[in-house]
Amino acid sequence: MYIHHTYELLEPTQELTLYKQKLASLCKINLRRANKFNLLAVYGALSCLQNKNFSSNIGIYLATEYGPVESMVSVLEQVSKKDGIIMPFDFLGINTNASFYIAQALKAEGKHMMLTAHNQSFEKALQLAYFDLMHEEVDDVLVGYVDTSLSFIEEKHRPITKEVCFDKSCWIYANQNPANALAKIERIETFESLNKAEEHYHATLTPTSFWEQLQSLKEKETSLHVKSDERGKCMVITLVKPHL
Amino acid sequence: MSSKKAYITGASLWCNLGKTPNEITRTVHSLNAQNYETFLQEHFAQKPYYHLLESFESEEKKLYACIDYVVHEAIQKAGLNEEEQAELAIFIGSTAMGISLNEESYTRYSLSKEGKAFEHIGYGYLGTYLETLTHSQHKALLFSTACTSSVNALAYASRMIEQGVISKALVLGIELFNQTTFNGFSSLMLLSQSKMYRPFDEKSDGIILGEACSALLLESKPRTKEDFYYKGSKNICDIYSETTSNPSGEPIFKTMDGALKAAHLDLKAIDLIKAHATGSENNNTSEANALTLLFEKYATHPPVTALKPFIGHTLGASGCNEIALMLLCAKEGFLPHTLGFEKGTKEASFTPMQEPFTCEDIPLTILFNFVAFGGNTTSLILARE
Repeated sequence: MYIHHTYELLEPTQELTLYKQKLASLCKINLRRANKFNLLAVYGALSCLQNKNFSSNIGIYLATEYGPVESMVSVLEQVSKKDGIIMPFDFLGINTNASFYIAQALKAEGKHMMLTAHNQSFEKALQLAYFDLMHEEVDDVLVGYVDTSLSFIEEKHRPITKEVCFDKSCWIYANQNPANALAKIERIETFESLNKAEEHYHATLTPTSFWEQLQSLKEKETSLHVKSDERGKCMVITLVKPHL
Repeated sequence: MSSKKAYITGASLWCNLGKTPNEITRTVHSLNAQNYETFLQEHFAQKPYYHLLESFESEEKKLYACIDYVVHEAIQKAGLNEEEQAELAIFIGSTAMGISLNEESYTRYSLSKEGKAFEHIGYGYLGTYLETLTHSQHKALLFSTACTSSVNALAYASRMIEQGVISKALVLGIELFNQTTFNGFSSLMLLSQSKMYRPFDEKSDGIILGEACSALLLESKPRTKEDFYYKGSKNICDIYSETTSNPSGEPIFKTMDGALKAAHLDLKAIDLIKAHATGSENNNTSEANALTLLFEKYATHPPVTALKPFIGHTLGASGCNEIALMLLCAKEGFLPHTLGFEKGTKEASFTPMQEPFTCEDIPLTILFNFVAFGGNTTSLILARE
């Protein structure tokens, strides 16, 4: 699986209007009523594929840990009131339509999936995309990780991790064509514990950022992206510099 | 083509009809055109919703009671020992996931300003719960593709077993009552006002939601000669609209046709089509048109049935739930008929099956069709020898 394009947005909390403006500069699709999660997702995906050719049989895999939280809180507020009336766009906003908006913006009629795996959402989505690509279910894959900042939620109600106050929309585009690729994903492996992974690799493994590992291929031939959850379940993604 | 097959060796369902296979299949078999309306009137005494018959102390207890029950049942039916359970790769499909827990905690917090406003942010915890429950060495993956969530989960689990990536899988579909979904569908004006579920019927006037939870256990080898196995599937994106399918039916037709191609089958090999059949105005048109295109292409016309009149529309869990319901009935020697149909819409070129299909000890091939918000459209074919 060869990575051809990437896009990484990692910003401290920004207003929804900023992403609306950014998106308007990229495309003309109407996302006037869209929530921040959907805007971030579409903006990131389109930025990754801007002015690039891709197959109409592209698979879109959107990973998220928390989903559209702002819409969820808004809907919870509405249902907690006596009449419980929900505004249609708020309801649609919690129903995971971000990958549809991306597909619609790209006019892509292959598959689109929205996926979560506690603390390994991006890695598991990448594994699914890898599986589809290797078995020729799709011709290209667009795999992204999107989460909006949770800074609007009182600290005591937020998950306890340091990254929750960032807006994130990070994407890769890949296929089976090695020509001009940035990197090759050689293997995606899962282990029931970090110890088992270390035994397998005969090395000490430390958790990493996928994007930093991708960058590190500028200086080395191979790099390992390691992600484990709090119970130790571990995924290791082997990235190598492509040789033509 | 893979030499391995993915067999469904355990299936369980907890729905409005009960939680044991005997309760569920007996009721399905007993319902007909004469008693359907009375059944619905009695069941909908509180509200037009296919609800579980049991009551629970809290939403949290309900969620975990449902998961525990269906998972244990499926594992027990397959007869998995602890070592085999550890091999289970876990796939979950749902629309609402655990939003009912957040509704409960948020309302409590709004009133008292004490405790937690949210039970959880994000739904990964459901996967972690299942990993612990089954002692699985794998990491659970949750699918959120609206009404195709659990059928997509099943398709991936099956294909990964076929390709030897995993050896066993547990697929969970769960959709429990929550005010958000109920009120949300109401505000979209998609719910039936007549309180009669009538897919493809000219008097059909919308969706009736339901709650149910099911588990399907998949393995690379069958446990009994009656075990169904995965033949093929297709998923595509209909980019026509976020909330409606292309009324021409073309994308749904392509999906069903794609599943046939993936399974290397002609439509003549299909014994039954389980339509998505939500009863919405758009689905009554788009899916009926898609079926007509399929029948014209293959010049044949297998029976069509709809299961939502029995258990309601269980959204993201409908894939797993309706497949579990079909397999439980097949084990009892019949396939369910369609309730609530009298005269078809102008697009329906077919009459859905009016009587149960007797199928004791015969090979079967069934095409299951599902259509979701966000254009996510999936068809999946299962067979037994």
